[in-house]
Parts: sequence; structure tokens; C-alpha cells
Amino acid sequence: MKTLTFGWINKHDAARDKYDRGEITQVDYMGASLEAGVESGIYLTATMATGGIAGIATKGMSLTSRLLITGAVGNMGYQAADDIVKGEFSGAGAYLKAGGTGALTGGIFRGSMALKPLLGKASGAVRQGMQVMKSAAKGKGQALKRMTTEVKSGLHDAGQKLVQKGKSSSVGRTLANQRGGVRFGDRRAYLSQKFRGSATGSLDKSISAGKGYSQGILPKGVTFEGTLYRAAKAGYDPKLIHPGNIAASHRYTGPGQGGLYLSSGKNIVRAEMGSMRGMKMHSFDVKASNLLDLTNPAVRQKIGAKLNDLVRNSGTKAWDYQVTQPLGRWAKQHGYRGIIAPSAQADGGVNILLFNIGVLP
Amino acid sequence: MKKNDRKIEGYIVWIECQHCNEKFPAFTFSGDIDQVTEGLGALSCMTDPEIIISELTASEWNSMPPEVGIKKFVQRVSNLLDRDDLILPVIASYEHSETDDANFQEFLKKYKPSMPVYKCIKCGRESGRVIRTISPSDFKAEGGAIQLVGKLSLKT
Repeated sequence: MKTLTFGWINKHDAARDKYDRGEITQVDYMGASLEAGVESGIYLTATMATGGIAGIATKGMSLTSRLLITGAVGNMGYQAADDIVKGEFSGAGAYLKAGGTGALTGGIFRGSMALKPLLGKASGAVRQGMQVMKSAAKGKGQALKRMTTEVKSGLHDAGQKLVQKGKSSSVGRTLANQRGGVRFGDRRAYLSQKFRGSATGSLDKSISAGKGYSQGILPKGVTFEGTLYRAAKAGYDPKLIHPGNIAASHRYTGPGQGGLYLSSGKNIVRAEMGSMRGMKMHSFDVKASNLLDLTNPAVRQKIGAKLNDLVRNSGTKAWDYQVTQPLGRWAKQHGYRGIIAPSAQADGGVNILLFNIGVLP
Repeated sequence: MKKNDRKIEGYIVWIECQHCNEKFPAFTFSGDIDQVTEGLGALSCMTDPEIIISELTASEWNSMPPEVGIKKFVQRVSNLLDRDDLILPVIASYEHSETDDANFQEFLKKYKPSMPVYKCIKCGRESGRVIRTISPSDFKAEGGAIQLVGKLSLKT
């Protein structure tokens, strides 16, 4: 297993060297790297599904690394896809490290006896992920976006089934004791430092989420499917999470977080905006899972938040957002992909905050 | 405040560079949803407590990387006002103090907002820390100036 893992990395690194020397184009480099990933990822997933259960019992480095690599492939697919869509793709090499993030989440969710059915789904997601990467390399943007959503949904839904069964904590603890396993070993200088940080951070988040679910503290996420609306100035990319967005203070996202807000109706957008001068309305058919539904009184009760705390509109923004911004951070930190929230500007209106643009068509 | 003006809300943070002690203001936009603040940009004067707020054009906003569009925005507004002392304070990073409480009420007790770390407008080091947050009206009361460029109105 270890040999295969490093074999993949070495294949990738060889391609990267050629790219750095100008011997191949970036597309060729991505293609070569992804091919290696496809081979390794599918093989590893299949191995996990068939013989990997024995390895689970060992709880050693081998377990962590198997889970890491398997999940890494799927996550690499959608992480890269996201970045390509946002124009931030920085080379497939960076996603090796990012892959660890999804692998850890997947690893926690994959714990215990429910491993096998999950792996079946994960295997499909891995193949889809690789298709995404291949499509990306060929410049098929639309297919890329669609597949990104499917890969994310596939991995996430499979994980959700496990956490609902309360089978997440033991592997979470195992991973907590295996933090050293986050490192892949043979790393090259060009692997971005930020991915190193994010892998560790996501491990913490995943463990936290795993504990929360298993203890029944976290409300169950819900799926939204339907048409949502948002406004953007004419000519603006309506799906862009700009640094200006991240720097600003919004109801559920304080400076430093960022997110994309959508509304359940055009009239809600208009009420939120006040003036629509120069604005264009955009609609999106969205299917987003694992959203924290704050319009549900039972959910609010479970987390101890009152409706009035969510729709305060009478004081300073600091007062208005005193509960909601921490809620946004808490929700993201605990693995929710967004929030369904009552509008504070339109009675009966609903806003949906997405922490990233991955689910938008 | 004109009826069709775009309403702007936000607050001013005073930044102090931990390296050269330069102090400068920066405007933080605020609104319930991101579309309310979308496309707005605030420049700071490098010599006086003054903030200029305007809107980025579509090409400036959509630019990748965003820094390219921001640079064009600064140049355009500076040319428009015939100024050469304006700069858009850049946030270099955010400091997050994370708690991992699954219980939201416990999380809320320990929560601290993320703090932006600015690039100093004088020495360029990424060591500008927020030392104070004030409302636009307090900023003006203390001698600061806020200029709006375009059809904009500021809620104070």
C-alpha cells in the first residue's frame, strides 16, 4: 500500500519536474498526474472495500494512511475542481496535500462496521472525481462543475449515513491519536504551505464533528433542493466569493469567513437589498445537502438560539450579528455546508448561506 | 440620502502597524447578505484620516487574481479625484481563535471574532493590527472625513 502511495506521488513528481523544466504543458502535466491518481485511487479503494477491513482493526499508521489515500483521491477531485472554477487552480501537486483533508473526514465517517457499503459509494465518487479532473484538463468546464457537485454529494451523503448511525467516534479517536499520519512523507517544496495547515485544521474539525454527531449534540443537516435567487451588479460574476466579500461583515459570516447568500424568492432579495439600482437578478437550481436549518424551531431549540437572536434588526450591526456570526463559524467548523436562515428583512423569507460555491450549477 | 442611492453600512477600524507604529483607518462594509456589500471598495488616505468609498466596475470586480482589479480600482478613483495619496488597505491574513465545542452555547461563550491582519500602508509589512473600531459618525466627530464617489449614501 505504501509503495503504491509513493508510486503515485513519484509519478506525479516526475510530471511536475518535466513541467517545471518546460518539457510539457500544464495540461499535459495535469493529465499525467491525474492518470497516476486514477490508477492508484481506484486500486486503493477497491483494496479497501475488499481486504481493508482487516486493516481497520490494526489502528496503526497503516489504517490512517489507507484512509488518507483513498479519501484523498475523491477530495482532490473536487478541491481541484472548485479551484479551477474559481480560477485558482495552482497545479495538481497541491491537491495531494489537500486530499488529506477529505480523507480524514471520510476516515472518521468510514469507521466501524458500516465501512463496506460506504466504500462502495466512495469508490464511485473516486471514479467520478477522476473524471472531473480529466474533464478539467480538457477544459470541459460545465461537466466539471456538474461532476464536482456529484462527487461532493456522494462522499458527503455516504458519510452522513454513518454519522446518523452514531458510528463515527471510535475512528475519530483513532485519527486523533494519529495526527502524524496527516503527513505524506515525501513532500516537495512546491506543495503549498496552506494545505499543510488546512489538513490539520480539518482533522480537528472532523474529530469535533464526529464527536458532536455521536453525542447527539449537533442537529442533523438537511438537504435543500429548489430554485434560489441572488442579485449582482450587471456584469458581475454572481458566484464569486471575492476577497471583498470575505472582508465584510454579514449576518452569518464575520470578516474572515465569507460565503454566498441566496434567497428563496426574488421579493426576498429585493427586501434584503433595499435598492436594486444597477442590479441583475440571477436564479440557480440548487441541491445542497447538510445545511443547518435555523428556520426549524426544533433545531433552534437544540442549539439554544432564539428566533429573535437571528433576526435582530434594531441595534448596531455588532449587536445584530452577536449570535449569528458565531453561529456561522460554528456551523462551518462542524461540517455543515451552509445555513438555512430566516430573513431579517422580509417576514417569512428564507435565506440560504453556502460556505462555498461548489453546489451551484 | 437620495432614494435611488445605494445604501452603505459599515464601520471604521483603526489599524496600527506593530513594526513602524503607523496608524491608519480602514472601512469595513456591513450588511445582512453579501450582495449588499458586493462591489464596494474603500480607499484610505495615506496622510490624513480620510476614507473614500466607491464601487468597482464589473471588470475590476471579476478580475483574477482579485488584486489586479483592486489595483485598477485604486488607479481609476485616484485619477477621478486627481489624488495620489489613496491606497486600499490590504488584509494580509486573518487570525482565528477557534474553539471546537460541539455545544453551540459553549462555543458562543468562548467565541472571538476573526481579526484581520493588514499590510501596513507605510512600511508594507504584514503587521497592522486592529486597535479600535468606531462608527462612521464617531470617525467624523473625531475629525475624520468620508467621501462617497458615485450614487452612494452612508448610513451613519
